[in-house]
Amino acid sequence: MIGGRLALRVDPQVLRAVAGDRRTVLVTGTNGKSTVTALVAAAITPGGAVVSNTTGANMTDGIVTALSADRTSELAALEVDEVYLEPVARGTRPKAVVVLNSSREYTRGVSLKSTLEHWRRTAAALPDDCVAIVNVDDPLVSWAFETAPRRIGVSGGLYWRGDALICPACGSVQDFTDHSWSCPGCQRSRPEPDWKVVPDGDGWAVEHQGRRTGIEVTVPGRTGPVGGAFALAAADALGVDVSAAAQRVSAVADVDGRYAPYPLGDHAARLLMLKNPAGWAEAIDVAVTTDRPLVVAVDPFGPKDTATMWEAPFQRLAGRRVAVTGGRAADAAAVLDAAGVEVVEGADIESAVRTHAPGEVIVACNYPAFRRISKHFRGGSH
Amino acid sequence: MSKALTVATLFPLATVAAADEANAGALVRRGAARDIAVETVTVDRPDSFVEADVYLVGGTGRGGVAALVEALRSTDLAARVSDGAVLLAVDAGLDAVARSWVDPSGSRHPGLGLAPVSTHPATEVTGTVVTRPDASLDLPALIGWEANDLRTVREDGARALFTLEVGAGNRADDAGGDTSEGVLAGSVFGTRLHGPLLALNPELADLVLARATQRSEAWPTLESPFVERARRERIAESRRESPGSDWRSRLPAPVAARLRR
Repeated sequence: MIGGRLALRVDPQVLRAVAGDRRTVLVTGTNGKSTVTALVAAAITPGGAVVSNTTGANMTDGIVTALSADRTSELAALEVDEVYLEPVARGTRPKAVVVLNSSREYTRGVSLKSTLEHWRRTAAALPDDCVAIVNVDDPLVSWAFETAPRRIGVSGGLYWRGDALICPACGSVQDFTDHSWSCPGCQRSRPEPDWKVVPDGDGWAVEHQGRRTGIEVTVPGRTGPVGGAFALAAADALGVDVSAAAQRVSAVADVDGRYAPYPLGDHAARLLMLKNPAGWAEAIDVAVTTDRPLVVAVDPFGPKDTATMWEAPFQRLAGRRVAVTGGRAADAAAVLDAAGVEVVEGADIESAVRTHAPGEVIVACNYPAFRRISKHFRGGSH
Repeated sequence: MSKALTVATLFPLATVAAADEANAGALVRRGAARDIAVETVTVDRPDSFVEADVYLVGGTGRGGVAALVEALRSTDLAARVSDGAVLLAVDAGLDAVARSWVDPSGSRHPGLGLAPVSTHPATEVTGTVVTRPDASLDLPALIGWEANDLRTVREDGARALFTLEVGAGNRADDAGGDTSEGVLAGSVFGTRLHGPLLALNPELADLVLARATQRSEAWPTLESPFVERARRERIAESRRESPGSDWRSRLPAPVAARLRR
């Protein structure tokens, strides 16, 4: 509620002035915004220079700052905090809004219900030439954006079903299958996606209107190609050639230091930053589906810092060995032990990574551990 | 397994998440260690209400309390609790089962009346909580956190669930008394403490299991070294940050800000 009140205080005229006549793509959702915004920026580039809030300053003031710093680029790819979508959409009059997913967040006391209602109002008020590019695998997102004047569906996956059990429209308990959902109460069901990710040889391709476009993304697991599918859909919405966009998306080596592996002798560490159970669920999925060893690095971040880790499905790692490190290593060890995971502890990130066999290691971090470790790697001698 | 229990989490999506949903999983784990098979159910609609031995209701904020009261009222929760089922009501859940609660505009509404408390507006407090050991409930010092803007007034002489070493608690105590937190009345546990309370404090999970199985003798000692270490470190940290008591939180905010290191 605090976020909503703050958002209402921002004058949309200021944003409108700095946004100007740029063609803007907004990216919102609970998880994965920074990554997908970087992929969207790469995908839409040939239309002109792109301004983007690459540092993740994604509330209205951060967006005003990013747009004021670059008044000439004709395109913008902007990450938007989910609570600020309405004023940012009013101020920037976007050509496309990408909506990734929706799960509860724990830090600001904003209820998921109020966010979804805010999105639904925002969607209904989008300009007629704006395309909402929505994850149709997420029933909450699908419902919130059914009021949009134009809508394109992406099969973006649903890592966190727990918040989507109840139909937001009629309150019935939804029916889920592995890849789809439907509501027995109001008969809503997953719209057929216009864009989806399919396995293609050893890698992934994005399928759209019967055409396959190969895509390589450094982001590990399914997250990467799914983000690529959203980026290609945004490029297509702006009239950019999709296969050229796919090549540029594949060339994105790193996003804010998050994904490029850091070499550590015979090991390579890939950092992931997680902030809620849906994020941890995704990291767990990456470790399971890529069969990579895992380090969990968590640092202190207020009294609730590790609380939501208890709700993430760490039991999927039961029987595996996971290393913990950081100022809250004891909390991480307790969470993992409760899930039946064998826990080893490293005094620092290097020794935690080296508890695993040589090769690539996934390092799942909370926010402060991510900042600390990525800074350490960048500044270190590795 | 010698006994079987059903634990039902009630309407978790009605309120803002308080990271308290791990409490059900904690009862499953502690139950397994105590030779009790615990089955968990999530009730999202009144017509899927189940007969259970333990009910968990929680979340935070007052935005969802009216809807939660309405949903709970259309179930058999009150009858189940008067038959002895255990109820653990956390924060927004405590408002909903209180005798009365106040909405954000200050208007008073009836709750379900299962917990003998009424709630009243107060300044906002957030922070880590350390409880004092309680031999009568076989509890050591526990860890939790609070984030609310309410006074919780116990009625009919009901006992508090905890007394606090660190934290603001109910904020409804006579001068000079212990800082009380929550309420314990019959099989109803009410608290403002968020988060994975039962996961971090397995002895509290034991107490819930004991009430649910009508066990009166103490449980055999059960080590849980990982959780105990996590709790020990956090308690030590809280004591370092609030020497003596939470006296800082009673100071006017500008004064308190100057005192921070």
